[in-house]
Amino acid sequence: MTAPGFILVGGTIHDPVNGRDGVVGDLYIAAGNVVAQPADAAGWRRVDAHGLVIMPGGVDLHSHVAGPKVNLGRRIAPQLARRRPAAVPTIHATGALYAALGYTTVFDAAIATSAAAIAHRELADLPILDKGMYLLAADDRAVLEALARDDAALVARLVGDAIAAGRGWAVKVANPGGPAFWKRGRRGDHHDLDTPLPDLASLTPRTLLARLAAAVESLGLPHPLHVHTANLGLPGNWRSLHETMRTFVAAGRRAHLAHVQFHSYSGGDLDEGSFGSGVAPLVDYFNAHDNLTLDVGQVLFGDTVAMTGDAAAAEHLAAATGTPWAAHDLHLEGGCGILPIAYKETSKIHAWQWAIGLEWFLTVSDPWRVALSTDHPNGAHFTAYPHLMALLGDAAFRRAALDRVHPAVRKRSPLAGIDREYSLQELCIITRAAPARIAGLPHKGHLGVGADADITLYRTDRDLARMFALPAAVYKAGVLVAEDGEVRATPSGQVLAASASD
Amino acid sequence: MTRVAGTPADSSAAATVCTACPLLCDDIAPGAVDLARACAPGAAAFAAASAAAGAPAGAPAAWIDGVPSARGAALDRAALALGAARRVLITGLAGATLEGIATACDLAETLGAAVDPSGSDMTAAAGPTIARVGSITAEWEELRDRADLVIFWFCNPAATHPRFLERFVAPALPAGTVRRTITVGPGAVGPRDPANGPGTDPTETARCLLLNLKGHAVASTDNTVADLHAAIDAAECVAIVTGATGDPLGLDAWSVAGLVQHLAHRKPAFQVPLGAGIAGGGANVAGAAAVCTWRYGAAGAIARADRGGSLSLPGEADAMHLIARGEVDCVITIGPLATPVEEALAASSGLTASSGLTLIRVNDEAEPRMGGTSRIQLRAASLLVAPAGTMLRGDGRWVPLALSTEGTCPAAQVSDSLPAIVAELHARVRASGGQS
Repeated sequence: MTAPGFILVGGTIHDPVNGRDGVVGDLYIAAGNVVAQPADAAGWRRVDAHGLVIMPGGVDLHSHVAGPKVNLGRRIAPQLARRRPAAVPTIHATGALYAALGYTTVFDAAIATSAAAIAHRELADLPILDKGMYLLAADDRAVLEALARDDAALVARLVGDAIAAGRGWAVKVANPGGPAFWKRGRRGDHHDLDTPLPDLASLTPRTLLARLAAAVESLGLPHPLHVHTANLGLPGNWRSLHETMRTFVAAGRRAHLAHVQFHSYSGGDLDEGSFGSGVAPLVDYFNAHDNLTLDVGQVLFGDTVAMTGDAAAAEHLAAATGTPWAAHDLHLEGGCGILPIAYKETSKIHAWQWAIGLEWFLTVSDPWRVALSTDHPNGAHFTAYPHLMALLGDAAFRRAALDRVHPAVRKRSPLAGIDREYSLQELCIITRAAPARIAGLPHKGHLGVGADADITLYRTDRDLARMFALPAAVYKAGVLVAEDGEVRATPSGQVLAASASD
Repeated sequence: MTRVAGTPADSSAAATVCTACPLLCDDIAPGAVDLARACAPGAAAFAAASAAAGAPAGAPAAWIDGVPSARGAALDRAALALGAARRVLITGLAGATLEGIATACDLAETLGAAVDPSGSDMTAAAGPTIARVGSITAEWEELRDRADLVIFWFCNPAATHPRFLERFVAPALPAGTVRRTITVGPGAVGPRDPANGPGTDPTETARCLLLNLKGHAVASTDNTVADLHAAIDAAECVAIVTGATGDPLGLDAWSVAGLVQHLAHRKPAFQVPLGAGIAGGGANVAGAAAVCTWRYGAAGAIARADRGGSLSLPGEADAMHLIARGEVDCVITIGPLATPVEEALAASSGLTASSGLTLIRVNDEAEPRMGGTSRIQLRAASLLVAPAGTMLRGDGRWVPLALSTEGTCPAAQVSDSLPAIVAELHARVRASGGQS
């Protein structure tokens, strides 16, 4: 018999995994899970949810919240650190802010294997949320050498060992082969997928991606290879992303494409004058190949801090903007680059980035293969998610925003001709159900029996930004952790660590 | 010295980690006698710790006003003082493990205390260098394996980090590439002399070199700048090694970091900021900065520790200034202190009679600190003889001090470990309804 729990009574349930689209009903919660209606609910506490929208807790599958790179980001811009919220919040504030927003799970998307231990020490201080990390296993020199020899068994063993030792959830590659180029020159990022690595001539970024994806699949990790491909941020880089997708399709491998917005620019190589959107051919290809999933890495206007495991990309941005930056190279691995950045509506480049991200969201046909993200804090702070959801769900709101950006983008972006609006159910998919499914979390992202009782209750509001910014209540594993933006409890949450298939 | 797993080259032998300075040398031969690889200060520290640990009667667990005391009584007295204090400062920290630092921060948050690990960047009037000109750095093995030009920039690693040269500069580069080294400035960082020209003044030398690299002709009183320019042009990868600076404005650190920023856009180049080393108040400087940053958003000078939001005020809320200005009436020192902070405490001893400053020390010293400011001293086990926990090497590399550290806080399980003592103090403060 289930010990008495509580009942969320009469809420409007959005649970795409279980086919509930705005269905009024009750949810039974006990021992941290969603449970079946008990035969006798006497003794169960009843919580009135009439008039409230109920969704699973949010899942952010691509963010940067912990580790040495994030710590550098906290230090580099004190003026942004003093804002509320800080551009790169402290670890305690990160948990509180996410929870108050209705999010209950987060992954840090780029941790060097040698930094995993200290990052875990920091994540242990992250309150409320369940959390995990993707390890940059392919930056490791031994893995690269095994990939170059095409020794699949050794690659799998080394990557599996790294995941086990670093208690990682997934394998991330940030600019395939990038550190090898970076450590031997500058503008090292400007290579295509078929340029041999400087000292591993039998390995190209393309072969690295295909072989690494195979290793990840052979290990049975919950999440496919998480790919930040080459040439991030550069004009004309849509071709690199297109080739990246073609590589996985040709190899018959699954892959998750990270922050595609930053990889979808048309224009000539290094020619910022011809900068524009390269989304159309990319989204056509993506829509046709369901072995691929993506998160967008939406840019929103304002001040933030850019941080990446792709030091070459950071160096390029620092050189282009004249901004002081921070970098730290790791021995036998990659490194990182960090710098403050202000995205301005009046900047043509920034306005293109904003429009390109939205174009991706609004032209992808299957929301189940898309995760909402800003690549926090790179594109924008995660607390801007409600604003992004309003841009997707309210065409009038989006048109008004488009009217404020650089005139060249207003004129040339296809955004003006797109009327699509995400429904509440679709917003629920891209913030909960899809990221949980893509990340490989069967107990999250839905409200079926056996699911983790990570639940967010919203007040219905035509103003979607306001609605999603201030949940009425947030439950984590059945515990009320936030109410009307105020944190009520700070349980520690679980560390999500994968292990290779036994 | 701490026993850790052996290296791949000699998997049957255990090595030890020396916690005498931020190098955290992990290749020391085991045993109290065979310390052949240890530097002189490291070996001396180990010998002293071993002697104290092996004293027949054992050292007292605590002192109150210099008189031996039971630990419980000292903890009660310390908790009472903390409860009565108007404003508390917690400093030191860099000699503690990550676990010890976390425990001290927990206490600080309960007390609403100021926290400062006393890094020189936080003392500088202009604040941290990274916020003004960024920071391009690398792990020390990157210097060892990649840098064909190493510039020692107004520092003397042989004095501050005795084995740095042996471990990271002396080894040959791969593939027979020759490494060139250049020393700029006097043998050690000394007081700034504004009258000096290039080669003797860090800021001026950096300014001249930067202008020179940018193609501007700069009059120089010696050949330093021209030589450096030529060497940099010829190099594939440049490492600039710096030490702690005595510049109270922070311009010295600013100028060299800015120089590295410029270089790093041209070719592989990075700074290796070694800091004060042996004089820096502990081996875990990087760890203290890391924990403070993820908890409070800055590496130090935290005016009030608060999980809900803290404010860092470099040059204002750092340990030296808080003590010197009499803005705190209770100071808890965790582990050894950086020399400038120790001097500030010594200088404040005259204030204690009037201000009522209470000093609570938690460290591994076997003798009570004498002097007017030393009131309560709690003795913790030395990491040199009772290793536990983890530290970050000066370049941020994770170093476990003991074999079994994964996912646990082993130091806190030993009753006389520093984390355990601080946790006990915290428990008493909470029990007495201390500040929150």
